[in-house]
Amino acid sequence: MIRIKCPYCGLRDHSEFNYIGDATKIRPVSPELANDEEWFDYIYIRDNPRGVHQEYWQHITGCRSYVKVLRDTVTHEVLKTGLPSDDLLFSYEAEK
Amino acid sequence: MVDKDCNLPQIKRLSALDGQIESGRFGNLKTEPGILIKENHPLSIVQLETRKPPTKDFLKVIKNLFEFDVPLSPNTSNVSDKTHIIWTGPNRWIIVEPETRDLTSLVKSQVKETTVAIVDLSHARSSIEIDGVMTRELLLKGAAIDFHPEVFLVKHCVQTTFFNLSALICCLDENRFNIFIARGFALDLWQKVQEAAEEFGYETL
Amino acid sequence: MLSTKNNQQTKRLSSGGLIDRSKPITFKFDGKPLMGYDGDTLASALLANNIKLVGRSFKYHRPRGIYTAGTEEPNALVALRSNARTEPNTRATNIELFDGLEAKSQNRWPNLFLDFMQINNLAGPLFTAGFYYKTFMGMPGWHFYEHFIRKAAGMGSTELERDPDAYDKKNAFCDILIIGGGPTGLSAALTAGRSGARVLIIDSSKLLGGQLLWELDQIDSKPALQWIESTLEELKEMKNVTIARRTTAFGYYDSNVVNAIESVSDHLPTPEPHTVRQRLWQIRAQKVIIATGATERPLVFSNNDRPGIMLASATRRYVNQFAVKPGNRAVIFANNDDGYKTAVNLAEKDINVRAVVDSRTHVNQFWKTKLEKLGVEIIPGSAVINTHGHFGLTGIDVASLSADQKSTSSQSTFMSADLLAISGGWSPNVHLYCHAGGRPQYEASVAAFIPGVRSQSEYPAGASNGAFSLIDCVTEGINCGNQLVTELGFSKTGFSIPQTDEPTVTPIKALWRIPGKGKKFVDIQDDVTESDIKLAHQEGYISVEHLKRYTTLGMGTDQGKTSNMNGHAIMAEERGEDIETVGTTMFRPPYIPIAMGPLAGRDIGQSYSAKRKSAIHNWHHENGAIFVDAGQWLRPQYYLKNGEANTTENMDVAITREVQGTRGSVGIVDVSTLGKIDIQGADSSEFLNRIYTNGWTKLAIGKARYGLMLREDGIVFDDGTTSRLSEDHYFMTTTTSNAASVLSHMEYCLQVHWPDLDVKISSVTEQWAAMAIAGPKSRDVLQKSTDEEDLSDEALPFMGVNQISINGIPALIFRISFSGELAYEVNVPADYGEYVWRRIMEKGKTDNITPYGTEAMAIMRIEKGHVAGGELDGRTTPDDLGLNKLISSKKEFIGRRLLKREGFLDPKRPKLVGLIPIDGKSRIRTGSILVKDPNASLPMPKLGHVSSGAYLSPTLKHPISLGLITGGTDRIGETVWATSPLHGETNEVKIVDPVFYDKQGERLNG
Ligand SMILES: [Zn+2]
Repeated sequence: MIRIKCPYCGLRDHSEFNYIGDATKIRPVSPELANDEEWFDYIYIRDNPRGVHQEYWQHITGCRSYVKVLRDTVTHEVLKTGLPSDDLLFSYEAEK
Repeated sequence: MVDKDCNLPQIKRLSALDGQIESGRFGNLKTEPGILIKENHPLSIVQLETRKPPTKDFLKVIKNLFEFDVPLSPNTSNVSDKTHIIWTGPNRWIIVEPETRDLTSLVKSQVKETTVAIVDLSHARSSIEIDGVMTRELLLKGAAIDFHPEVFLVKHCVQTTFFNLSALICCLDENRFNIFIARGFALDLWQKVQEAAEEFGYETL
Repeated sequence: MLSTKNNQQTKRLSSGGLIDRSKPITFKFDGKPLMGYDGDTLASALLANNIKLVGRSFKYHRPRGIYTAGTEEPNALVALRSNARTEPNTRATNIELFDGLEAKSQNRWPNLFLDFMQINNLAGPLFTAGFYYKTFMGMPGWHFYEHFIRKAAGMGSTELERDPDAYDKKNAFCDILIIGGGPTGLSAALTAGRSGARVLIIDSSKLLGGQLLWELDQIDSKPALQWIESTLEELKEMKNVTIARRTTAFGYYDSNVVNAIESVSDHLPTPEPHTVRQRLWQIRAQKVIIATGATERPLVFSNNDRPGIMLASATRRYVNQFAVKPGNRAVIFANNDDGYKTAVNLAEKDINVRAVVDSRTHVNQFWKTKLEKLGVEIIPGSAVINTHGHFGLTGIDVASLSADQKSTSSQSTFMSADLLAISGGWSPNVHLYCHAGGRPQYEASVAAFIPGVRSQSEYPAGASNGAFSLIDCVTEGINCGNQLVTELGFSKTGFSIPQTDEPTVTPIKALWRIPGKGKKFVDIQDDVTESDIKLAHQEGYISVEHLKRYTTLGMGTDQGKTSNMNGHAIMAEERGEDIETVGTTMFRPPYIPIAMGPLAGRDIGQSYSAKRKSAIHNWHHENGAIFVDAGQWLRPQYYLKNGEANTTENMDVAITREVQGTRGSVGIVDVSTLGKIDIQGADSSEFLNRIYTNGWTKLAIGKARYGLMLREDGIVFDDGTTSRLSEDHYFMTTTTSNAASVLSHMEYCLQVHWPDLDVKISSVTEQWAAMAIAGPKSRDVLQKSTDEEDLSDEALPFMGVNQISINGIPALIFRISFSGELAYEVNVPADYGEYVWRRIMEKGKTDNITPYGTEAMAIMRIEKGHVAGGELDGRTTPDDLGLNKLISSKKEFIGRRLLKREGFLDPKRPKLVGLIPIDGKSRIRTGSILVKDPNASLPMPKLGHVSSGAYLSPTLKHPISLGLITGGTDRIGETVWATSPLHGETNEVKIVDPVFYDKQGERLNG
């Protein structure tokens, strides 16, 4: 069990969410200008960090928002949550 | 034009629970029924979604229509005798009334802003109302939400997983809650609520 | 029935104890009727009846008795109840006695006293650590031996009947959860409760008080029981405090979630009507106080497993709480002061205590004086080195212990005894602390692992924190309570620490094993002996994790509650390292064995998955529909008529009837399950352009278009029809199975990729009941059903959309076709769905309208070569499916870039074709592999596979299939073989065009 704080709805069980995946990969803003390497990286390359990981969860049975979650993959501790536009790692490290 | 009687079909609406419910006393008969279950039907449900935080104009139109404000905080609702407006997501609400008028057309005729999406969900949701002294205990069996009366106050609402289904749960009164569920799951949820209410004794209306 | 005259409770004391002698209870053990009292456990009642032998051991089938009085019991496991309610491996020490209780001993054959399997004991060397691996693995005879060994070395057996009881789940929330209602937990609860915090205190027993229930301690010069009573009275008055009895926390999970099992009805013969047997609690607390106490350890010496040997604390519990004498002549063997406490206690309860054997040399003056008065001999610096007896203890050998504890004197003294109370010190119950993520640290002063650094919000206190004296427990409970309420923002309450009457303690001296020959059991449940640990060490399995797996130490249902510490310490001695270095294994949930019932709760059988029903479900049900699961939806698969039995033949008859009825005149199918998404906003067209492969900006209002969606990697994701209702308003349909994932995908795109787009989307699947009316007569029937709407080709051409009215009901009508016939899809608000369906059925009567199910629908789409689930299998590209015409070259869309990758351009990629059996009748199984030569040597080169098929096309009168094959339609006319080795089927098939019927699409116009 993990409890995740939806920025809108508050702290909820993870069963209300769908795990989506890595939130550090950003879709090429100009798809036609991105080269093969960038596309390959965006679609296929995923880190598997031991420790802090930024990922998307969708609050599927709640408000349906996509929630960015900063989670420790070792302890499962949810360190921080926010909206897709938030850089959680940056603010987490700044606070540290 | 606000109170114009719009044309509703003459045909009777059939709820998802139509013909499926036996009314009476069930479960533990040794005590007074701890739970009362009934369906609210037919309802008018209109969803409003604004692109950005709502404009003053939009808020004013709604206030004129329903005589109270759109709730701006998550997990809250505003309510009058007739109408219930519930927050269901960022910049998204549903307006719920017992069906007496064509609410969707009414709202469409008043809200002129093109950035507001108006969607009729009157038939998409069933509403199961639960009352009785054991209601909060029963809700705890299905949802991982703190229903303590000092935490989950009247007019408080949550969208959550309830008996493994997506549901919107609203507190109407001390022990009275309204549960909105996708129509197709209404009977399934009704049966789950009945099972969970067995030990408390329940009455269906 | 047993009359009170036959009361055989020869070991019951005449007074005292927390039992109700006015409420006798009859029960059966191994078929023998016995009597106990309300308040007994099964174990205490058996002891009262002088029954000491209760089971046979796991590997060696040695006679075993009741070893403890609590949750840690490794030996006294019984099969409780009978038939479908049989519960194997239940700890007799935890079973509350109830009227009519039936229990059977386990692991013996044919009975407890005559156990043929005892041969294992003689064949002892065979069963040493790791013997499975060494002896049998890789040998051809393993399968022969396995049966015998598993039968011999087993636990109780389960029943295969369905559990008749119901189970429940509930969630709970609180500020402070207190696990354990002993002196620590009660003190903490009182402190936290008085501050106003929301407190939930749970305890596994019926009675709160923990060890205080059976110790003779005084608190503020009054018996501890009085303190429990007054504390509970105050707690019950507090509205912010909840007490849950018979509720055992079994797991501490991430995010501070604690799971517990409430035994609602386990103390009753069967649950009361309308109540459950057990309830699973999921507790979410801000802070958790772990006040779970400690478990006494046995001592490891030769033949330390005979019935009559018992933990010292257990003997005190039996005499004090249950008023039962576990023996008449007792010897006590300990390495700590609890030996003396036990001796005094037992002697005061009329048991002849022969001696206290203390491995330490120094004896506290306080105890010396006390024991002298009672006439109990003290034998310091000594140890019990062997025991005698078979079905029960008859005597022991005592010898003096060398200073380094590594040898004993050659002279030993025999002492006759039927009870040996042993205490090797206490191990804090750190299980939940470990579950939370903690790593316990070895603390030499108490010879035990105690909690160290905190991982979550868990706060071990009292004995579970290594504070074993009563005063320390109460003090830690109060302090912990105060600390947590302060942290949570409540105000501390003045709470004075009470006085206790405990003597000063002489420190424990660790004693992990006593020299001597014979089996010295470390893990008495798994029959792991000291020599097994030595062997593991010799053979290199020296880490505690390897030791555990090699010897099975701590792997029984008791998870090594009484054995882990001794086992790990012995390994440390063997390795010559300190215990801290060697460490301990991690405890993992569950703390106690738990039944599957409460984990499943009510989600079993028909309720395993929610049932989703369309608005027309009742009509289908009343009209012979056989339903099929489509995700959570129930959909009519086909309709049986006039009492046809549901046989394969009749299914074929029904499907043929439905296809022919539709193609010949008119049919109707419920398509409410298709996903429907309302799309509004100024950028809707642009949004559709980005998520669909084809273009949308030019779609006229009132028109529909077939759309194809790809994943980012270029694989086909979903397809469906989307219609433009107004300039900025679209109505999308998705496949039934992808409805949820398409909506999530679109939300992802809008929230993550393109938040700047003005698009609002919403699922309206449940708002609309949808039905497709298909066939040459569909227009006529629909015309009669609607309110004089113009349905002509001009008003509603192919791919046209209109808003019409059906007897005043607003409907959205789409002229689209999946069957290839002239067809319409009618959407009406769901509550009118059944009405409109019935009306169309009524109006269609003269044209013989036929309702059809998913089978007929699938056959008709295969006849038309339309792709569906079998083809959209997460591996296919648009080109594979012949859908290249839907790929716009003028715009960007999701999946575009990767469509061009090398692998997708490979000419050898399998592509969509039609397949028919050469013999015109063989059924080609979906999933069959397509090969050139079915007799080729293995591995056979694969050309493709069969993706979907109709065993019989009623239109073409022979089976047809769709498949994907290298070369695709270039191979039309060739024959290949479809083979399903699993079913032993191989058939020659001809490759044909995937569109089997009406290639020109003329029937779309009726
Ligand atoms: Zn949310």
